[in-house]
Amino acid sequence: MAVIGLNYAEMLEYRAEDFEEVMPRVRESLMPRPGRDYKVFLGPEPELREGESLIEYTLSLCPQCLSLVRAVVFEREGKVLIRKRCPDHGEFEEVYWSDARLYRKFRRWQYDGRGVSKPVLPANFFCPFNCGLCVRHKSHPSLVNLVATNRCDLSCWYCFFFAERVGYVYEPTLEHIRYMMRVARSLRPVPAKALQITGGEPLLRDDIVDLVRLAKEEGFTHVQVNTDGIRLAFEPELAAELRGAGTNVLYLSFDGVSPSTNPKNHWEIPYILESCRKARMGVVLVPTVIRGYNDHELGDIIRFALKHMDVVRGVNFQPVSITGRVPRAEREALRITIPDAIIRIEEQTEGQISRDDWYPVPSVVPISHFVEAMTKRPQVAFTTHFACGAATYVFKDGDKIVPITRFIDVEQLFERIEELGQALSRGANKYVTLLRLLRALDSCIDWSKIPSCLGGRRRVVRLLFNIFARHNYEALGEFHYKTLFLGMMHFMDLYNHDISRVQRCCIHYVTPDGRLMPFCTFNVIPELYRDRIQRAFGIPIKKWEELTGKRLVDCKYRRNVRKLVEGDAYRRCYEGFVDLSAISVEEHVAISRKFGVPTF
Amino acid sequence: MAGLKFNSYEAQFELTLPRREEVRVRVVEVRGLSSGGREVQLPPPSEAPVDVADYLEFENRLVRVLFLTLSDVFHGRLVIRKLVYDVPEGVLALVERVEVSRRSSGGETITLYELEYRVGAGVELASVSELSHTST
Repeated sequence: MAVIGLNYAEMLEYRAEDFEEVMPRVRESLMPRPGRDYKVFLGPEPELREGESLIEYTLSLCPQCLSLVRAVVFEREGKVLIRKRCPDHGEFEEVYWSDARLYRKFRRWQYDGRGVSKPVLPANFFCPFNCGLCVRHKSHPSLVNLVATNRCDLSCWYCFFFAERVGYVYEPTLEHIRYMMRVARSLRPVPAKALQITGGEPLLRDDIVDLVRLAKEEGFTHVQVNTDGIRLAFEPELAAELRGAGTNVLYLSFDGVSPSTNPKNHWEIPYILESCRKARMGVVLVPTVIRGYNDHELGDIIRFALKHMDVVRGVNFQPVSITGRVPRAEREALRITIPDAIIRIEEQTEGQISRDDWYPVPSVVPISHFVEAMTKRPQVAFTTHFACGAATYVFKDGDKIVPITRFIDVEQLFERIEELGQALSRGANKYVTLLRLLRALDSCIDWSKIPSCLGGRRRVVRLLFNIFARHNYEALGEFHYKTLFLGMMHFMDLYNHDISRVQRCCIHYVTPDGRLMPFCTFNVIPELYRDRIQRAFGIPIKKWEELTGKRLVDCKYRRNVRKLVEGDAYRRCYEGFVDLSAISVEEHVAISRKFGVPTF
Repeated sequence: MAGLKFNSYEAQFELTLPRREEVRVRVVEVRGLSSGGREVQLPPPSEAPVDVADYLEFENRLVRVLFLTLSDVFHGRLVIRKLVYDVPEGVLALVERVEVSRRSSGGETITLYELEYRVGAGVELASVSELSHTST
C-alpha cells in the first residue's frame, strides 16, 4: 500500500495543529481507488423468483471482490432476505431480517436526518468507497468511536485486530487524539457529543485517564470506555480515576452468565462490577450474540443485569457480524438477526419482554424534533436505518419484568410529540405546547400498570416532563437510574451489506487521518478502511518495543481461576445463575485455557 | 475549451424510505451565459446512453438539490435519460432549470430549481436555488 512516506514513529512529538496540517495529504493517499480496489457494476436489478415478493432494491457489495452491485431485498416464507449478483463471483443470498412482520412494524419508524453541513470529503467516488464523511451521509454521528490502541490483554481466536496478529502497534499520541476529537467536534450542524474510547483494550494505555479528561476538555458530554474490564477487576482505584475524569459509562464485554458462554471475562465480571459500584460508574453489558453459542442465555443476561441494576444501566445485544469470507453453511449456523434475538428474549423471559415491546432506534426521533423546536438548537437525532437497531426499557417490579410499553402507549406518545414539535416549529407558543405535552403524557400512560419503583403519578410526570422541558443530560440520567435500557445493534457484514443503511449510520469511527466513517464501512471493509489506515499509522512491534521500553507480551493476561472463583464476590454475583457445585475449578480452568487465556 | 459538453439528466424513480414517493425530474431549459451575463442559445441536445460516470454525476446533483443518493433512487425502478449539450465557445456559465415533482399518499409537490454551473476546463455545479414551489 503506497502511503505518502508516513513514519508514525517520527510524528510522536507532533501537536494537534501539526496533524491538522499534514492529514489532508495523508487522507488523499489512503482513499480507495476505482479499478485498483473495487469495481462498480450498476447493471439491471436482480430478479425475483416464485414465492418471493419485492420490498425494495438497493446497492450492496460483492463479498468476494468488494465491487458495488445492485441487490434486491425481498420477502419469502415470512423472512426478509437480500440477494445480489456479481458478474465475476456469482450470486449471494442472505437472511436480512428473520421476521417479516417485525420488519414491517420497524419500517414505519424511519426518519431521515439532515446529514452534515460541513462534510470532510467531496463525493468523488461511489458510496461506500468515499467514506469520511461526504455529502451523501444522511445522519450525523450520535456516537463516535476512537480506537485508542490495538494492543489487547487477550488474544481471542476470532479477532483479527490485535497488535501481535497484525504485526504493528497502533496507538495514537494524546495530541493526535486531540486532533481526532476536534474533527468530530467540528461537525455541523450537530457536533459529536458522545465518544466511545475503544480498542484493542483501551485500559492498557497508561494515559487512559488523561485521555478521558481530554475528551471532556474537548467538549464531549458523554464518554464511555469499551472494555473487557479485566484491569478494573484488580485495580478498583482505576475505576474511580476513570469516573473522576469524566467517564460516564463502562461499555463492558459480557457474552453470557456462564463460563462457557463468556470465557473472555466471566471470572473477572464480579470484581469489575464491584470496582464500578465503588466508583459509582454505570455499566452497560455488551453481549455479542451468536446462534448456538450464547443465544440460549439472553433471558438470563437480562435477569443478571436486573440483579445488578444498582450498577448496570443497560444491556446492548449485538447479533454477530460475520466478518471475512465465510462459506454459506457456516454463516447459516452462526447468523442471528435482530428479530431472532428479540424472539429468543420473549421465549426466555416467558413473554415478560415480548417482541412487541421493541421499537427501532429512529422511533425516538420525534423527541429530538420536539427538543430542537423548543430550544431552536440542532439536536442529536438517532436517524439511523430502522433495520440497524432496536430498543426498549424495562423496570423491575418485585420479581416481574415490566417493559415501558406495558404502561405507556409509546406509538401514540411519539406521534403526539411529533405533532407538537411540528406545531412548535410553526410558531406555536412554547408554554402552551408544554402544557399540551403534559396532557399527552398523562393520556398515554396507563396509571394502573405503573411499576412501583417509579413512585406515584406526580413523580413520573415530573420525570418525563424534565426530559422534554429541561432536555439535559441529567434529566435523562435520572430516568436511566430507574430503568434498565435494552438495546440491540446489528452491525452488517459483507453478506447483508446495504448501502442505504451505511448512509444512515449514526455510529462512526474517527480515524487518525481525520475522517469519520460509518461503523459498517470501517469494520466491514477493513482492507480499504480500518486495517489500511491503522497500518499506515502503526509502528512495527520491534520498533515500538524499542521506543517504549515495553514488551508487547507483558500486557497479556494470565488468569488465576481458583482465586477468582473462590472469592466471595464471585459467589454473590452469580448466585442463581451459575451452579457452583456443578463446575469444578479444573473445569473452569479448562474453559479458560480452551478459549486461549492462560491460567496459573 | 473547444468540444466541451454538458450533460443534463431527466429521471423518474420511486423512493421507498423514509416513505413511498414517486419522483420525476424534468429539464425545463438549459442556457449559456457569456461575459457580462449575456444569454447564449445552446444547440438542441442529443440523447446518449448513460454510463457509470453519469450515475456519479447525476447523484452529485441529486444530493445537492434533493438530498437524495443513488442508493435512494435505486430502491425502485430508475428510468434515467441523458441529454448532451455542446457548449459554445465564450460560454462562462450554464443555467439549468429542472422541475421536480414528488407524489406521495399525502399529495403532490412541484418545485422548480435553478442550477448554475461554472464553465472552465470542465463544468462544475456552483449553486442551487429554489425558484418556486407548489403543493396540491
